[in-house]
Order: sequence, then structure tokens, then C-alpha cells
Amino acid sequence: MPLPVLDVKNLVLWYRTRKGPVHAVDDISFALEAGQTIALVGESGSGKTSTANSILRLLPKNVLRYEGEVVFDGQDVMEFDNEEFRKVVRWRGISMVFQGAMNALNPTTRVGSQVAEPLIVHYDIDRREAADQAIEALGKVGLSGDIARRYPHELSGGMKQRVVIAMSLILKPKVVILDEPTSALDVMTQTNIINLLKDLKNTEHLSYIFITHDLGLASELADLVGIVYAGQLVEVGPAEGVFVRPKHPYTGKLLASVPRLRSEAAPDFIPGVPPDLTDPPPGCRFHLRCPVSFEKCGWSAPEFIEQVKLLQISEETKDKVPAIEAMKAKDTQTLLIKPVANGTIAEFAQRLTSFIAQDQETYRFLKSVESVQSKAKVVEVKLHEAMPPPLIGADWRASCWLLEAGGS
Amino acid sequence: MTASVVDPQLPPEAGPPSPNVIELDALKKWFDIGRGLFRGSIPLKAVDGVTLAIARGETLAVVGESGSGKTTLGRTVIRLLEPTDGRLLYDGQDITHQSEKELMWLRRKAQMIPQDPYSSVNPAFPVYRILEEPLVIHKEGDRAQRGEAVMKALQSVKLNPPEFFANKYPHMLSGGQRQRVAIARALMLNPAFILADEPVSMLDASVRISILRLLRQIQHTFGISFLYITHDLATAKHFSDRIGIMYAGRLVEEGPVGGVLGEPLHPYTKALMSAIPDPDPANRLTVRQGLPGEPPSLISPPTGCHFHPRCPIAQAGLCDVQDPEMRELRPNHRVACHLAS
Amino acid sequence: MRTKSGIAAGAMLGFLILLAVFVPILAPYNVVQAWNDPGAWTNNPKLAAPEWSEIFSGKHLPRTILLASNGEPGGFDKVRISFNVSGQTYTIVVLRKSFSFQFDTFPSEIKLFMTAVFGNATGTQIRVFWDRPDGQEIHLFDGNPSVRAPYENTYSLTGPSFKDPSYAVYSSVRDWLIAKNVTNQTEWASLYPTSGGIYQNPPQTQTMLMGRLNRTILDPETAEVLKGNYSFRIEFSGFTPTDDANARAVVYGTVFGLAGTDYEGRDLLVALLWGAPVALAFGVAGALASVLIQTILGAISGWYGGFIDEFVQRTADFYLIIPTLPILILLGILYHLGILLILFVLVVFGVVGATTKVVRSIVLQVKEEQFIEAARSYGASRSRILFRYILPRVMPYTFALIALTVPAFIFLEASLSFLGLGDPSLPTWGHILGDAYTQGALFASRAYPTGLWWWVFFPAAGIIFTTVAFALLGYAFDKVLNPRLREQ
Repeated sequence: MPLPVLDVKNLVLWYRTRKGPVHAVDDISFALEAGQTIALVGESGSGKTSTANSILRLLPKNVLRYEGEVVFDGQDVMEFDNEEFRKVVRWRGISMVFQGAMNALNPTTRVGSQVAEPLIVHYDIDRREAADQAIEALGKVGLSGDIARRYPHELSGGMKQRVVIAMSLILKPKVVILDEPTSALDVMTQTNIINLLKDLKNTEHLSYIFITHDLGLASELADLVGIVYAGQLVEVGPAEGVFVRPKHPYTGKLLASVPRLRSEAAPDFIPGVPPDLTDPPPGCRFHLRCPVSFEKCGWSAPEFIEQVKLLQISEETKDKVPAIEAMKAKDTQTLLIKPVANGTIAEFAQRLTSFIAQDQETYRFLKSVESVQSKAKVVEVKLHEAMPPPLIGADWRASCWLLEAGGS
Repeated sequence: MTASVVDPQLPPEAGPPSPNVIELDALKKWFDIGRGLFRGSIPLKAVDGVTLAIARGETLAVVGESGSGKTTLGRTVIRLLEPTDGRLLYDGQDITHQSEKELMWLRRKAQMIPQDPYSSVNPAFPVYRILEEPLVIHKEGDRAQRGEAVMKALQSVKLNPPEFFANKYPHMLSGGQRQRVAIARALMLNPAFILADEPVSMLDASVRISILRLLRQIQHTFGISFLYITHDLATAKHFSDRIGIMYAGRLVEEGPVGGVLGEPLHPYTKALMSAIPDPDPANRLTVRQGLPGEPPSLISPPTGCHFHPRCPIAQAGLCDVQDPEMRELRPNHRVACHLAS
Repeated sequence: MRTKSGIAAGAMLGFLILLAVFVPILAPYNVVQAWNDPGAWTNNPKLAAPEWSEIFSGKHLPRTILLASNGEPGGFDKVRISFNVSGQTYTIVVLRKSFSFQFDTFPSEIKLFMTAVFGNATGTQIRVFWDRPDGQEIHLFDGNPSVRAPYENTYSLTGPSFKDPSYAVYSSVRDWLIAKNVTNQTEWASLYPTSGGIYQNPPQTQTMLMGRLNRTILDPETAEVLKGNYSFRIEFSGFTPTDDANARAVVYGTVFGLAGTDYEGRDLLVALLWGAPVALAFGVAGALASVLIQTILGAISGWYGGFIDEFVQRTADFYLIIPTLPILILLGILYHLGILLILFVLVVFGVVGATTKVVRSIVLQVKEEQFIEAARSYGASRSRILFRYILPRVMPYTFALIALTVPAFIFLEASLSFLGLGDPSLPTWGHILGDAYTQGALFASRAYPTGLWWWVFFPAAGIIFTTVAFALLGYAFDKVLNPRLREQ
């Protein structure tokens, strides 16, 4: 088993904001072999760009926690001081094509100079030599040498993106991080760029970290797929497995939501919104939206109450819910329900229990109920304890309790 | 003031209602990009002779890359721009060159949903004011009736409870919620036609689907016709009835969704389809068929068929000389290509 | 508004507004009219520093002592007899008043005001005597009142002028000093030379009248104040039965009031307080009018585009080139400028300008937003969109711009007044500064080693305070509008 060129272990990045600490990257691990591509797929705000920035130590101003191991070429580069990191790792070992980079090219400098700039910054190299290498890099991305004398505004979107890719390759890195490299491009141009990336992978012996929200695009390059949700990696495994028979419910829903050109299946959408990273839910972070969540997944009392309220408001469901006057969370796992004065407490508890039994498959949050007890004037509902699922599996891992039993 | 399924109010001086809400006949919209005192005007041919029709209660998707003229087409269809040539008919009535004053009735019947959730609704107004505006402008109803209409509209776009959302300002809402407000606004005047210009392209993937589904629902409930402009062929496939492919200001193929995408006849359509990946792990092992070159400039497009410089089957002497006509090669499925069959 | 600068601005502005509101109520316009009437200020010392400035010198500086005329409380004591000798009526009036002088330095001036009733001008005579605490009596001067009641005859003991009795007083003082062997003729002539009868460097009689009688008395720098009771004695003789006389005197201090006085003796506190409402009103009115007009023009220009846009923008360019102040100066020289006229001219010159361009670019940006296009599609008219959708977006910037333009207007008015081209009747801050400048207020002199600092300090402080208040307000607005400037 060859050593991975990049081995990320337990990477954490939290930073401070007015509202509280943002858990941008919350314990992410994956390993990339030479010549392999991993796609980090997730919705916007899931933390995939933050992960890439953390690997390259491009940190925001107000970092709270920044930990983990990033083993590049056998060395843990988290141990390096900033200067060493800059010289050895950033751009030379690992480079990056940023999101929207093609629009961030300096409009007042010729393209060739911009491509050559990393050379001049990192090495003490003579101008002519740098210019030659820049032209060579441009050639590799399919641009002729005379493009070097042009300014960015004279180039089309596709050409600008090629320039940016050339810039990322100029120091001959081993790993290139691509953050939504085709998001602003037309379909045709996108295809050409992807083809270029496929080609470069082989000719330059590169490993890619390909960040995108588009599963179709991801499948164009990915050997390994990592699904990012709320700052965590919920599934990571080989493309053949993840795209075809995903282990994690989120991956499943994500795949189902892609409108496919070559199939008639109507795309489905995931109800709800991704959680707030300053206050991630306890237990599994996806449980609020999961179609198959059950006891262990981590419903808390406040969330439970929230869900009941939503049912009470909606036209379609309000009649199903037993008549409740008030609800209060006693602690994270216990809540008290006071019924509308209409019969005894015991009767209400009975109605509640049968509601839970009947409708728990539809309204998954009901599954988190461990016990329903009648007290003097209220009914006490106890929920199962919330525990975040670990990544279960070996080469193909997913963090979902469903896998514990060996099911899928 | 609930929107009803009944025939929308007809414009003045209308004849018998036609089956098509919108008809375009060789519609052109050229922009004048003057180049100084001596060079005279140089036209940018954004829409260069488009003929198509949208039937009642149907969604027609117009798909094209950026620079294809699809956005201009949309604007022209609802008369935010005046056509340079050709005819534009709404419900059989010629609205090609009517003045703004004469078009006030159109401003009720035809609405639009913009693309960018960050600027599609007025950030300085609370939601109820945003929704009330169209009613106020057209002097519909009194305050109480307007309030009711606002609540109903919010419910139609599933922003429940409506009272909660009515007082919010746009910056308090998510992108998807803002687009829902834009949709609600479009519904306020009971339109018969809505132009949806890339309404979901700036939203998250999963939100996209819910919005598109909502639009479909609205279409079925209220019988509204949609012109759905997009660059995303896949969403067009799942959310429209008919589809038109635009390239460099012209329509190159048009027909029912199943037909066009099941059997693409124009080389551009074929190229477009093969360029879009579905999530399939086998993709990484093959090289996708692309097209060389770039989409042409609309100022000086290629002669003859605009696509010929990039076309894999172009024939010299024919494709570079003659403009191809739209021919109906399959039932209701038309193609503008000399060589398609 | 909750930013630190906002709070500071709010406090400062609140203070100014209170001032602006209360001053006109408490001190009605009469005060301003009085400003232009020198007669109202005769009892104030000229060029007096504020009273509290004596802290800096450590000495107890003299305040003005008013000796009222007979009949008033604390006034001169009077005895009048009229009698007939051999067919000729003689009327004798004796007026006397004493006062206590306990200050550490000498008064700035001493003046005597007499009202006299007399039939036959020639012949009435007064003789004025001065009594000192050390028992010395000096016969100051003799005079013939020439002005009949109710007008006053003014006699200045400190001069210098060879028309009023100060020269006579110099001679009396000299003779007295020589008689007391403090000095002699030659010394006096060398200390106080005359040329053609005119003193080049006149003696300061107040130091001699009130100084300790020894050699130090000759030089004002060394003279020591003799504290104690002094009195005036006036003998008036007239020749008709109705002749009468009354007197009042003022021993002018060197300090006055909270803000001192100017060269006419006018209380600068009045000017200071009055300057506030004028500055505020002028500044706010001018800024409001100018910015609002510019905003609307800029918005129309940006929104409608085309010819209107070109026209407005070229006009704005033209205006930006015009030097406003020089033109105003020109106008000021040729015409008499009242304050309202100045305001009007400034607004006319401010109808288009930088704000127009700024607003236009904001409008151009907002114009591109998609809800504007959507509005057109549901039938909103162009003017509705402009006034109801676009202008509200522009308004926050407009407020900030107004706040920042107010100081500019205040400065313009101050500059004009400073150059003497403003409204000469209004005591605005700029006007005071102008007076101060022309009178050489900041030049140090022997009498005023620090110059007339208060004359400059207070109006300048007023202008600075107001300007800073508005600048802080504008800055606070800017912070609200421009999120990048917000404190983290």
C-alpha cells in the first residue's frame, strides 16, 4: 500500500464571529494517493472551501481552533512554522485554483507576468527564465505563447480559467486544489476545461482535491468521493460505491436531487436547510432532514418541540396532532407536554403514544421518543440520548448509525 | 382576489381567443452599438429572427449558453424591449410596436421572475409592500382586499405562516425564500403568462428543485404559461413541456421535451447534451466530446448558419452561405439545419 | 446612531440645538440691533479678557466699576444751591462719589460722563478733583461742558487725546508728581517726550492716579496698585436758576464677562451665543437645500439618462470648475450682501456639484438591480420607480452628505464674514473673527502680552465645535451605511 501523498487527519477549524464560534471544519479526515482525485461535494456553506483553505493554512482572522494533522509527503506540515510552510508547502507542494479566480486576475498586468509571478516569489530566478517557464506552462494548458502578452480582459472566460490553472501548475506541485473551477463557465467551455484537467492529471502526475456542489461534475474526475455536510465528512469512499449505492442517507438524497439528462426519474429535493454552523445540532447533524432518522440520531427536546409546532401550523397535518396546550423542554432530552383540558392525563398519554406509533415513519422525529409518562398535570416525554455517529467503515466510511448494525 | 383557472382577462379589442398565449413571428431585436461619428451604427443582433409559440398552460424552456440571446428574447417577449423587426402577438393581438401607455393591460397579464435572489425584490420594502405594489399601481382593491390577496399569495408559494413572512424584510430571508416572494409578486395580478429568467440558477442545488416544483404546481393550479429561460438542460428536461435551443440569436431546434432530448436532431443540441455529465463514476475514465472554439460574437456572427464554424458536419458552400430554415422534421419538432433529417 | 462617534455627535449637536433654540428666546433680536449700536456698550471695557482668565495671571483683575448718576441707587451724591448776588444768579452743584478699589492691577480706562443743564453756554465750568486713599488730592482738570442734557459730555481721564481733558490730566499728574519729588521736569520729558505738543507715548494716567506714590509709579510695569477708597469730586458752576448737572463715572476693568469684549466693548458672549443659531440655521438650510436639489437632479440624471443626463452632468462639471468663493467675494465687493442673499447665492451655486455625481452613480447601480426591471414588468411607471424605489435607497447617503455639507456652508459664511463681505449687521462667528483680524488681535503688545486671544478663541472654538459635531454625525452615518467601517 503506497503512502498517501496527502493524509489529512482530524482537521478542525473554528473561528469566532459575533454570533458565536463557527464550526467551519469539524474533524475531517481523508487520505489521497498519488495520482488520485478526491471530490469534496457539499451544499454551499457546508465547509468544503474552508477545508481546502485550512489545508493550505489560509486562515481567517479570528481563528479559535485550528488543529489536526496534515501529512504531506510523509511530513506533518501542521508542525511547520508559517515561513517554512510558505516556502515548502504552499504553491510548491500544494497549489489551489480558487473559486472565481478567473475574475480575480489583475487587470493591469499582462497574463504572462501573472503566471510567472509565483516563480519569482519563490525562487531567485532570472526574468527570462521565468518568462520561458510561464510560456511553457501556458502551452500545457492549451494556450499559445503569444497569449502571455495579453491582458486578462482580452481573453474569454475559458481562456482566463486556463491561465489560472497554468498559474497553479507553474511550481510543479503534487496536489492541486480546485474550488469550483467551472462554475462561471458555459457548458461547452466547462467540458473543455474538464478535459484539460483530465489530461493534466496524467501528464503532470497530479492529485486533485476537487471541490464542487455538482455531483455530475464531480464524477468526471473523482476516484474518491467525500460528502461534506455541516463541516463534517459524512461519507467518503470510492466513486463506484458512493455514486451508485451510497451508504449515508444524505448522499442518497443528494444524488436523488440531481436532475438527470439521461434518465426520466424526477428529481427530489431535501426539505429544510443546512444547520447553522455556530450551533450545530447534537448527535448526527443531518437528523433534522433525514428521511430515515431514528432513535439514536439525536433529536433534542427543543428540536422535538419545534417539529411538533410545525405540524400544528401546517394545514395538512394539524388535525393529526393530539390537542396540546403547551410544551416545555425540561432539559435536552426531556420535555413536558400539557394537554388541552379534555379528559384525563392518562387518556392524553394514550393518544400521544398511539400517534407516535402510527406516524413515526412519516414524521421521523417521533422515533426519538424513548418513553411517555403521565405525571400529575403534564405528560413527560423522554427522548433517546443523542450521540454523533462516528465514521463507520474502512476504506469506504459513512457516519450514520444505520451502518452500525451492518445495514445500509 | 384569488387567481382562478378561468381564462384571463382579454386585452381590449381582442378577437376570438387564440390557442397560443404568445406568438413570435421572425422576431428580431438588434441593439445599436454606435462606433463613433463616422462609422455609423453597428448592430448587435441579440435576437435574429425567432419564430415560436407558447400555448396556454404550457411551459416552454429556452435553453442556451451565455451570449446566445436568450435573456434578450425574454425581455422582448414581455415588451420590456421593443422588437426591431418581426411580430409579437399576445392572445392574437399584435403588441409589437405598442407604446408603454397602450401596454398597461399587458403589464397585468404578463409578469416576470428575475434571476438573482439578492436583487429580485426591493430590499428596502417589507414583504407585504413588495407584494402590494402591483395591486397599488393598477388600483386593484382597497386596503383590506389587498391584504387578503397578499396572504393568499404567500400561501400559494408555501411561505407559511403568511403573517410571519409578511412583515419581514428581504435580508432576513434565505435566497430560496426571496425567490418565493418574487414568485408571489408575479402572481398578484392573476397573470396568464410568466417569464422566468433563470429563476433558480443562483440558488443551492436542493432549493432549486423545490422552487421549480412550486412553479410547476402553480402552472397546474392557475393555468399559467411559462417561458423558462435557462442554461441548464437537465432542469429544462424535468420542468417543461416544450424546449427550444438557442444559439447566437437564433432558434436551432424546438419541440416537445421528450422529442428534442430523446432524439436531438441539430448538431448543437447533440453537442450540448453530450457535454453535460450525469453522476456516473465511469465518467472519469473517458473524455467527453466537446466543441472547439467559442460562441460567436453577436455583432458579427458567422454568415449563413451561425453554428457552422464549430459544427462537426458543416458543409462548405452550403452551411456557410445560406441561412437554414426551420423545418418540421418530426411531429411538432422543428430544426434549423440544412443537413438534419 | 449607537456608535461612539454617533453618541458624541448627538451630544454636541444636542447642545448646539438647545443653544440655538434658547438664545433667540432669551435674548431677542434687540440684542443684535444693539450690537450695531455703539451706544449700548459704553459701560463695557474695550478689549477686555474674560473674567476667568485671571486664573492664568494669578492676580485679582479689575472688573468694571460703575458709578451711577445721582438719583440712581449707589449714585453720586449731589448738593445743589442756587443763589442770587447782586442780580446775578449763581448755581453751584457739587457731586461726589467714592468707591473702593481692591484689585491687583490697574483699570483700563477711567471715564466721567456729565449731563448738564445750562442756558448760556459760555461760563459754565466744572472742576474735577480726585481723592486717593493715601490722602492725596489731585486737581485733575477744568472743563466747560458744551453739550446740553440729555446728551452726555464725555471726559476721559486716560485718553489719549488732546481734545478731551486727558492732556490736561497728564499735566496735572505731572505737576503733582514733581511737587511730591517723585520726579522732575527733565525726567518726565525724557520718559514721555512730546513732539509738537503731542505725546508720542502717552503716560498711563490710571497707574499714576492709583499707584503707590514712589518711584515705581513712573513706569506702568513697576507701579503698584494702591488699594483703598478713591473718590471723584466735581464742582459745577452755572449762571441761570435752572442750571443743573449730574455725573456718572466708569472705572473700566480689564476683564469682563465670560468671553471678554471686543474693540467696541461689545460683550463677546452675545456674539458667541448668537453665532450658534445663525451658524446652524445657515449651515443646515444651505446644506439641506443644496444637497436635496443635487440629489434629485442626480437621481433624475442617472435614471432617465440620455440628453437630460448629459445636460446635468456637463452643468455639474461646469459648476465644479467655478470657484465659488472668489465669485462671492466679487459680489460682496460690488453689492451689499445680506445674510439671506448670501444663502441664496450659495444655494444657486450649489444646485449641481459633487453630490449630483455621487447620487447619479448610486442610481446607475441600483438601476441595474433586477427588482427594478421586474417593477417595469408589472407596470410601474418610470417616475414611480425613481421616487419610490430608487430614492429611498439613496436617502441614507443623502443624510450623510447633508451632515458633511453643513460645515462647508458654515465655513463659507464664516470666510465671507471674515473678509468683511458678509452681513455686517449680524454678529456671526466669522464676523467676529474678521473684526479680530483687522484689529490685529493676535499681535502681542505691551498692554496685551498674549494678544487679544479671547477675541479669536471663542468664535473659532464655536466654528470648530460645530464643524466637528457635524463631521462626527456624518461619520456615524457613514459607519452605518458602509459595513466595512464598522467595528468588529
